[in-house]
Amino acid sequence: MIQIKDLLEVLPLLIIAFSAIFILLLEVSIKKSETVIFGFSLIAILAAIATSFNYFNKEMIIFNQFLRISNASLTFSVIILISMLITVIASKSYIEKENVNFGEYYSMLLFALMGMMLMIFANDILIIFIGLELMSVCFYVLAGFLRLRQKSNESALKYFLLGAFMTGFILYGIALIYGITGTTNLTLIFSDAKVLTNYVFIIGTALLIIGFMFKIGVFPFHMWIPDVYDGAPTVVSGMLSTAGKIAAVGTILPIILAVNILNFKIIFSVAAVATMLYGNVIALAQTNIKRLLAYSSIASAGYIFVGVASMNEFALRGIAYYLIAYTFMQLGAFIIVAMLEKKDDGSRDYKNVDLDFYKGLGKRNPVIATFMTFFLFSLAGIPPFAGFWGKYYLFFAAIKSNQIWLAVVAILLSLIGVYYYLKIIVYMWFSESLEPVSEEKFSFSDTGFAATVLAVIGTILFGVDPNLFFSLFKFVTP
Amino acid sequence: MEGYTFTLLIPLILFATFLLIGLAGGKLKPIISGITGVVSLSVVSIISYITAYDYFFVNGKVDGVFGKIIVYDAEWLRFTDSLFIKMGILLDPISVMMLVVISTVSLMVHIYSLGYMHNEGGFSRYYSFLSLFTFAMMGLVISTNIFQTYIFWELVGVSSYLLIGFYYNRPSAVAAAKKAFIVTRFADLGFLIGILLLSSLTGTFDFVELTNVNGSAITAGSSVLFMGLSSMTWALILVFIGCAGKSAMFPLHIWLPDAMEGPTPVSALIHAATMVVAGVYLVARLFPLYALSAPVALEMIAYVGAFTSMFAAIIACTQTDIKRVLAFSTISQIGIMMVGLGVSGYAAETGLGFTASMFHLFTHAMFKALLFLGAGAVIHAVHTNEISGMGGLRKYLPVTHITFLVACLAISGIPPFSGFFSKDEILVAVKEKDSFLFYFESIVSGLSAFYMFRLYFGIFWNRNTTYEHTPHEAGMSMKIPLIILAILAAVTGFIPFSEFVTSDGIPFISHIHWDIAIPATIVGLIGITAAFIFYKKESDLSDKAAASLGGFYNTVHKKFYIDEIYIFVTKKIIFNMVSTPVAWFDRNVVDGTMNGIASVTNFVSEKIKRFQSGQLQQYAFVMVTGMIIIIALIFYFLKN
Amino acid sequence: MIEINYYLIVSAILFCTGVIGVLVRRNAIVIFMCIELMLNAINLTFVAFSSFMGNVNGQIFVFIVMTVAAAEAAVGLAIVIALFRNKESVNIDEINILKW
Repeated sequence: MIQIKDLLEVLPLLIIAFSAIFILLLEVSIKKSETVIFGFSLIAILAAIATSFNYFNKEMIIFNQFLRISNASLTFSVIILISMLITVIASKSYIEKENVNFGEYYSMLLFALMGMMLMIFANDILIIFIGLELMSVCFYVLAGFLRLRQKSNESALKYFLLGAFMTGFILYGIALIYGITGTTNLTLIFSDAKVLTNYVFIIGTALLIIGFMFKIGVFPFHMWIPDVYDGAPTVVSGMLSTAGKIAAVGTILPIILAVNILNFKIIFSVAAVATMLYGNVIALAQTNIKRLLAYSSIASAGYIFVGVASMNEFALRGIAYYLIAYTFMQLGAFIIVAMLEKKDDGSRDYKNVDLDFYKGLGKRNPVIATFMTFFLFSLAGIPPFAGFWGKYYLFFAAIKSNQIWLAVVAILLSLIGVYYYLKIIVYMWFSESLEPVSEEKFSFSDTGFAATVLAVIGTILFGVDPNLFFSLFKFVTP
Repeated sequence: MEGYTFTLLIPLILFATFLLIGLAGGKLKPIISGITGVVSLSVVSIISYITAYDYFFVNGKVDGVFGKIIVYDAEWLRFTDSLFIKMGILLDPISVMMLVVISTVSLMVHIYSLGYMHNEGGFSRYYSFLSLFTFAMMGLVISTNIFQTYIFWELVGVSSYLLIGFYYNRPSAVAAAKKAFIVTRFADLGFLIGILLLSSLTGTFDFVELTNVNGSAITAGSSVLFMGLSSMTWALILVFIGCAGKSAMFPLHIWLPDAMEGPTPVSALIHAATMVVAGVYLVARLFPLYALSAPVALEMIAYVGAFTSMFAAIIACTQTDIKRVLAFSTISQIGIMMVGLGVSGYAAETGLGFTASMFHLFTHAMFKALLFLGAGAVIHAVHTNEISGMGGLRKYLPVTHITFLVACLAISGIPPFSGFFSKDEILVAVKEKDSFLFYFESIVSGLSAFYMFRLYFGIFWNRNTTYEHTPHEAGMSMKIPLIILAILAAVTGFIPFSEFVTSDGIPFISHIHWDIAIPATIVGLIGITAAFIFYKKESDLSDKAAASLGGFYNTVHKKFYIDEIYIFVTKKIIFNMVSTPVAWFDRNVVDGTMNGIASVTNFVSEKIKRFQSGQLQQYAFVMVTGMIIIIALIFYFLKN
Repeated sequence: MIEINYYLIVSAILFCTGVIGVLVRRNAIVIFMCIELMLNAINLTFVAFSSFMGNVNGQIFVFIVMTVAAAEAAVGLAIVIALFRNKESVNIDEINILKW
């Protein structure tokens, strides 16, 4: 039976769910509701973050075994909430600039957030599926939110068709798992060690994992990422590449660790290497910063999979740390790109997203250029920024699982990354602006600026004091 | 230990200065930023000197041993219960010595820059970067553990990148900065893997534990073999790759000559006295490990150092840009230091190589900084880097002339200048270990005398070039550092180094070995004489030969004969057959390989990005194929 | 009583038909219909398992899948319409301004 007190145990989820619905009501009942809605979603997310911290160190399975609250799932959900918080703040001025300031934008964000949290807390494949679809459907809409732009349309269509296609495979995998075990409850499924030797069950699990590899963007299921991030509204691209990825990792990681088939290890390692190689190498040839960041996000998926492939107790710490660092630096970089984008003048295309535009930015706008430099240094993994520790913990996990070769290859490939991040920094500080300079409209009252400051604080704070993260999220030292 | 807590001020003051100048810099008058930098550096220097005095003469020695003193150590990061990272300050002979070297040279450069940079833009930016660099370098030398070293190591890399690229409107400076950053980053990769391996073998990052002779770290990882070497040896070789990158050992030296694009005082600070010796310092820091558990790695260091010193010395003979000559000379001298470390044993007098190497590091910092600052004064006066545009400057720049001469004598190893003593000690240590290396290094030493005096005569004697603007001596702010450094370069050789800095902390007395010192001095004098013959007078070599033929038929016939041989040997054989090909090899093959890797990657990138065709169904097809392959693999694994 | 294998084989064939359809058809709407075919094949699998094991979980799952498919259809068709307004085509080969 579901008990009433269970509702109290999932307060963050309820807050997000109710506010998502409530925003729809606000949208129709108040005129000029945009600012109210913005404030409301901000408060909802902050409340969800604040309440989340009550549940640490209380392992429990609730709601008729449908949900499971654990430190790991709480950590991932807080990271997602932080990512969403920054996204919401940055979105306000962006969608105003693009003249699509509608309340449902926030509602979509919150519904997606709810889906993500649902699938992270899920203890039943059914809930995972519902959460996944709730998230994906919202993402399709958000990717196509600038519906007058062909690029945005195309991005949404590609995302939608490939996503739905992949959903089919995930479902097929779930059906196979269900067929063998007769249940969709994860606790029950993994309580019987015999199933782990069953071919059909393993194929089913593999299909499920592959479906999530698609969401994370691991080779060879990464093909959609550059096109979708390129075409989607820039803030949304940032959100997709952080929150979307974190949700998928946070959901599938416990399953991978529970299945723990050693043969998967080699597949994950090879996938990780291929992903890092593909992302880093193609990023070199990019001339559009959104695409460059998209390829860099593919490379990041590769680093995350280095952690996944190590499948030991260090993996979870490494991945969680990398993800929070990644949230700040990647989202921060995307938001800066969004802020510098030119206001829509009816040309129906994104302006000022070429790398050439970044030439001489340091002189035109030193504050923004400094922030961008921080994010890029962090992405390149240079101490003392958070990205360095993220990579460090991931590679450390790989070494601890006796995959030194994987760590070495990963470090080597991340070196290619240093090259193209550095290229942007060189453009910003050491190159002259191209004539004529297409002037970016920028002011410090831009909410994007506040979001960037948050991201910078995160990047530096977690870079200078990595222990903060582990004490904040109650990680036990293994 | 209490009593030294004031050393905490060293990094704090420097960091505060960086923040102050960096943040407020735009609003301050440039000269205020400069003065602030100089004042803060003076304070830091005084603290360093007090520390050194206290450590070496008052409190440092306990039972006749200079021990390691942990002044401060805060836990910063915890990996596992036994493995954590601290941040702190470690004082021992070499770190205290480095404090003195860095603060002295940095102070000189700060003062000198007041004059040198005064009509450049970005004065405040320059000083804030200088403070950042000094901070990073100080943090590096006082590290209590290898991880702290790594972090400051990277910070040093970043600040040096900023300083090399200071003239950012010059494309060549930007390219040089990028190259320096990427090459050293590449080497740091080895360093990072080495650290990871080292920490997983020994379970600690701490220098005190790592280098404790009776501790477990020395024996850890000695049994596991990989390709015939123990895993400890591999770890230490990987660490050395990082050192080779920072210290510009072959083949990772390619960034240093290009780095001369930076302002000259920066070259003096970073690329002569401090950053480039960080690699030597780190090897010295881990020396007990190298000496006791990985002699193979140490031997490798000796040979890499020897090869680099010869290679760079030969190239230095052919360069015409005076800063590049100095750059190659630096590479060569650092090679000599590495040789000193490589041949050294551990403990007491067998550790002479260690002491000698540190001694040479110390004296080299002084005279090389002096050479760079002198070169800066010359460039300041004549506005060119090319040696062909100089000559006869002794009349115009008397102070620079004398101080430069002192430095040249010091580097050539002429008594009683400082280089003589340190080089002599290195040669003694080398001879005990390996007589082949001894002769090899003696030749290098002769060559260094030759190319330095080639530079000296080329700048200050030679022809009387007419200048557009009459060159004049720079202001006091530039003269004073030159004079101070010249005094130091002249007298620091008399410091009885072995009584302070030794491999195991136990002082011993070393003497000058005249049986080696005299031949070495003679070799140096031969080099100087050769340079004198070729470069003192106005005409160049071929003209000179012609003049001898035509005019002075009655002059000693032999002299002509010797000249001919010299011309043949140097011009035809050494220059054409050895130096030019070696320089070509360096430019095209070593450099080319590095550039080649970069352009191949770019090329591949351009090609395979077409794979991302934009066609939805192709994407779906790739995904389905990937899925089928993965499922097939799973079946394959399950069957086996 | 028909064995469960027959149901499973039929549904697998339907599923593969859907996959191939997605890979070869050029019209975005038809591709989407092929995806629907895949989902329905899965529904068949679920029902077959469910009835074979006498366990209703699978049938509940089918309802959820149908709901989700409906939601996806609503969003998907809206996206196709938005694209059609700008591009006047739903031929997937022509939708490739985003590439490389």
